[in-house]
Amino acid sequence: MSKFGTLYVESDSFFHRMEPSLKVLIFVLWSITVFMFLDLRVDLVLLALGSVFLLFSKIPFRIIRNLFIVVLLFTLTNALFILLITPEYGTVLTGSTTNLFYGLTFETLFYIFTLSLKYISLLPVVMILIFTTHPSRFASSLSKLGIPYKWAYTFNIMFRYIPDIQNEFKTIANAQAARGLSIKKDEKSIVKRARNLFNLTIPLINSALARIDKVSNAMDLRGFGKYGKRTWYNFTPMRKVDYAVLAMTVIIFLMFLLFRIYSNTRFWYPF
Amino acid sequence: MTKIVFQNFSFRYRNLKEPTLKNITLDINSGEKVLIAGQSGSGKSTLMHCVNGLVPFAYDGEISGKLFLDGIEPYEESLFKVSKIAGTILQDQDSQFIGLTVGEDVAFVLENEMTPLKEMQQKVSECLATVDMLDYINHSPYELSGGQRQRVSLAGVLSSQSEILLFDEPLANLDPVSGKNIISLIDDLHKETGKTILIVEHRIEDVLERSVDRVIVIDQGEIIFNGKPCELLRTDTLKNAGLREPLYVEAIKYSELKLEDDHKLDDINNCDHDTIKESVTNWFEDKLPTEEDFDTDKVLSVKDINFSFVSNTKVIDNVSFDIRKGEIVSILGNNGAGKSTLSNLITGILKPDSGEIVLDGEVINNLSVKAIGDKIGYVMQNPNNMTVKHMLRDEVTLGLRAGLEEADRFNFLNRWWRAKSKVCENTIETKFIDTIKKCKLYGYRNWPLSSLSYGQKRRASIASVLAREPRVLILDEPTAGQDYSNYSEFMKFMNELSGYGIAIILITHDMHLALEYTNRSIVMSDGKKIADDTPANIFSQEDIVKKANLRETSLGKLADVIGIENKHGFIQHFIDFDRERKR
Amino acid sequence: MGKKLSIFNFGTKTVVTISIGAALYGIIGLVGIPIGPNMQLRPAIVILTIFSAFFGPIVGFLSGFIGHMLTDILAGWGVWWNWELSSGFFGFFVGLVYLAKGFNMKYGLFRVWHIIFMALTGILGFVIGYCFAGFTDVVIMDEAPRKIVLQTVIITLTNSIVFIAFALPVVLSFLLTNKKNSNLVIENQ
Ligand SMILES: Nc1ncnc2c1ncn2[C@@H]1O[C@H](COP(=O)(O)OP(=O)(O)OP(=O)(O)O)[C@@H](O)[C@H]1O
Ligand SMILES: Nc1ncnc2c1ncn2[C@@H]1O[C@H](COP(=O)(O)OP(=O)(O)OP(=O)(O)O)[C@@H](O)[C@H]1O
Ligand SMILES: [Mg+2]
Ligand SMILES: [Mg+2]
Repeated sequence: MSKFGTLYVESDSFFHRMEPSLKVLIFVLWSITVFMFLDLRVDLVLLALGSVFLLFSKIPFRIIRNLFIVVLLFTLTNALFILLITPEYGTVLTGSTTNLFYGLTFETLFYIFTLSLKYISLLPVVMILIFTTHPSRFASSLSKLGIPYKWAYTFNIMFRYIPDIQNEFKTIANAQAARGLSIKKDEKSIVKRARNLFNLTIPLINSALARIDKVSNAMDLRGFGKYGKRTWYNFTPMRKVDYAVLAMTVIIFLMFLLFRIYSNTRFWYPF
Repeated sequence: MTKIVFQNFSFRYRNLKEPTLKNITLDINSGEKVLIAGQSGSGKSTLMHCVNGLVPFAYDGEISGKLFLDGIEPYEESLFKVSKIAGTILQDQDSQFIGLTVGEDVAFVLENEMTPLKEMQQKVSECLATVDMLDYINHSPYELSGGQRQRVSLAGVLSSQSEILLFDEPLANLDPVSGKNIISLIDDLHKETGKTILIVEHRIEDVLERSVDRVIVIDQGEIIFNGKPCELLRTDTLKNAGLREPLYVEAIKYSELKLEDDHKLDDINNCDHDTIKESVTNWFEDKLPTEEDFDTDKVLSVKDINFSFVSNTKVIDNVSFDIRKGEIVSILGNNGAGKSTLSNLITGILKPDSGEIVLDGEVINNLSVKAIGDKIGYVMQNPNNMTVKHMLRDEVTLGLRAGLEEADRFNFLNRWWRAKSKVCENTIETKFIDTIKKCKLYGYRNWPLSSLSYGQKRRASIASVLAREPRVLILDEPTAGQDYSNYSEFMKFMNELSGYGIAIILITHDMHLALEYTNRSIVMSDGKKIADDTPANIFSQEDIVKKANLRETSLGKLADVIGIENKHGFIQHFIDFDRERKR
Repeated sequence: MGKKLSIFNFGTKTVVTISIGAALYGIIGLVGIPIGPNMQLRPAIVILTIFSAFFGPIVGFLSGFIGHMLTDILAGWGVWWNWELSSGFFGFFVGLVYLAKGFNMKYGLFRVWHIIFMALTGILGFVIGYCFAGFTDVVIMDEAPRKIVLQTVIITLTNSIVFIAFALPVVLSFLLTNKKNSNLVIENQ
């Protein structure tokens, strides 16, 4: 975790330099595209595109690999559940049955494969958004999308206090353990451990409530919310490249939209 | 021109029965620099909040009388309007750092004022340069020491251009040298800009080091002194209000000199006045200090411990020492020297990379925090991290209960029938009353913690640890933000505890505390132990003093000014005399 | 006494409340005590409940939504907005009690029916939130409906239990102590 307590990875790449609000927009349009189809071809295209993006983003391979493992595990268990609970669902979707063995159908397998790829194809843009966006630039950039600055500033404060709260959680847990109230394995009784854990929420909430007062006082004292607008210390103007990317994004999205309108079934099953 | 005018002003917090500020009448002129002193809980912060508008906009309550700020009545206006006039540095440093980086934090006011980007960047650099922090412009708050954060908040109010600056305990938690630097910084600022400045501080001596136009002393919500510092120091007002006089003033007074108008006590350099010289020299009986020797068993040994947060930067570098039974030891050192880290290692919260920690002959590094906590009590730097419960009573008894339940675990039948409750509750209650009496919180026993002042909260967190009767007690800056009467009561209490054989480790930035109350000081700098000796010996070693940002107290300075050679003996004489007096 | 801020007041304090609420909910969302396959006792629910009761449905909704997003991101799961919205729904529904007459967390004012109301709206919040998440999973992610129904039922049940068994008592303890926090005097006898 970076010094900001978020997952931002310090580096310099095409995506690090890209306007954050544009990344948000790409993320939203990308997701909508994924949601529009249950189509292996679309998933594969997006996945290919996403992989190219990731190559350009300079996110360390180790991080990408770990995240892929998590999502892979998720899709595998998900697949297992589907097989156990609704093994006939592929037939429901396609209307045909190709029995492989023990009630397992080819249709269902194909469906599960498409679905898993659909999950995975969401991943690259999320990663780019999370790992290449500097928290300081995020809020000021959101306000460019027309979001009022007070709403946008929520993210700044959140990023500011994430590490504080993490540390606080650890400190409080330790201070309590030193007084005999442990949440770790050295408390044998699981009931007590649970009770101590839930007990911890009280100082956390109390200190959060106190912090809300102090922080909002400090902000008020420095004139936050005085005017309908404010300037941003971290403001960076949109560059030509950003406009070009914006245009490209919209065009590609429109192409997918057209494709969706002209293809008549949602689930693509060529057999 | 008068800048701030209080007329018969009173304020009562919504949830309190009695007003916290009572009939305050006070004029503060434009361009004045004023020190506000008073016991913990006397209403200093509340007074500040009335000026900066937090009362009543953030703290609900009842106001009577009038208050004018630059001709306007703040409580009739909006907080924004007030904030334009008065800039504040709050008592709590952590939460007022709002930006993600130093630069952003300083820019915060400017952003809200819609300052154009170019101008903003320039101003931010200027303000940071003024406080000598320009190199840190892209650092996040976690990469700064306490003193550095203090500087950043100073830069923050600089950028706001307000006419009045309020400082609520700007020195709390700073080491002596950093504290001195901040006071000089404030003073330079005052001289350069002519702003009106109000400082609330318990470290009166440190603030008075640079000239102050006026001192106001508050006691239980009322003003009991309002005048020039030299007048204040001539009288016994501070002492009577339970506050600490500057040490050199105390020494002069002990010499029973009849103080006249031409004794300008507010500046130590003026103390070379002949009558002072004569009187103090007469008072001082030059004799060789007797070495107290301590030869009891050791309880705690730290052996060659090393620790680093990130690889290859050692935060604790090969530290070893022993703590004996009933000993009071102070750990001194500059901000960021590794003192808190060291106590986290001893209490098992952090695990050393190498080395051993031995308690009563048993190696404890591998025990859990909980197991170590049965024997070593630890009071952390920030009281808010320690409290779990809403009410003072529940908080102090919580640890007791955990302990008793443990002991009760095998007493199956009792537990089943809950018959233990009566006996248990009685022991708990007596222990509770006992502890909070010791910690001077008896009057507040039915209060929720949220309504206590910061200093009171500190004592509450100490009470909750003490109730568990530890063998070794580690206190991280227990006297920060405490007034003198609490402080000396508290230290007396520490003495009592050590009499029972509890070893006490105090982490402190208060040099006189180390001298007066501790038999031994361990000095840390850059993660290394650079000295382990009696406090008096340490202060006579210049290189160590310098390395660890320590400072000799004003007693040493006084000895210099009036030409006493045996500084050591002089300080010891003062301490002995002081003890005798208090008995 | 007992005046409450309008839930549509969007001042500094609301901004700060939402962000700190979200940060807290997000981080505590990462801890849990496993009690069975795919089931956890999550203390985060307590936090969201208290925040909603203190500050109302809008703060509850946003803290829940943004906070859950934070949990997913910090845990390395990516962004699953429909499940994250379900936390928002829960925050919104338990927060409704804020609007009820005579209820005030800050001053400890409440009646028994407020607590019952909270219990019902909280469970309703889970039901609506998870039904929404499940439904969107079926519609946009093309998940198998029967599987989703089963998942939804299980998750609603476990969370409702934590909510009733842990979150409501904590709410009650906050209410009771805040009630005592008035007319304080220093008793020296
Ligand atoms: N928010 C609050 N609600 C109720 N009572 C309060 C509040 N803040 C302070 N008080 C009470 O008002 C009194 C004065 O508190 P204040 O914080 O002004 O003291 P102080 O002089 O600044 O003390 P310290 O030196 O410990 O900071 C205390 O007795 C405290 O109990
Ligand atoms: N969690 C952490 N991660 C990384 N570095 C840390 C951490 N905590 C402390 N440090 C660093 O370790 C060093 C020692 O810190 P520590 O808190 O022990 O200082 P200290 O002597 O207690 O200072 P102070 O007098 O300001 O309380 C500092 O340089 C600090 O920046
Ligand atoms: Mg104060
Ligand atoms: Mg420290």
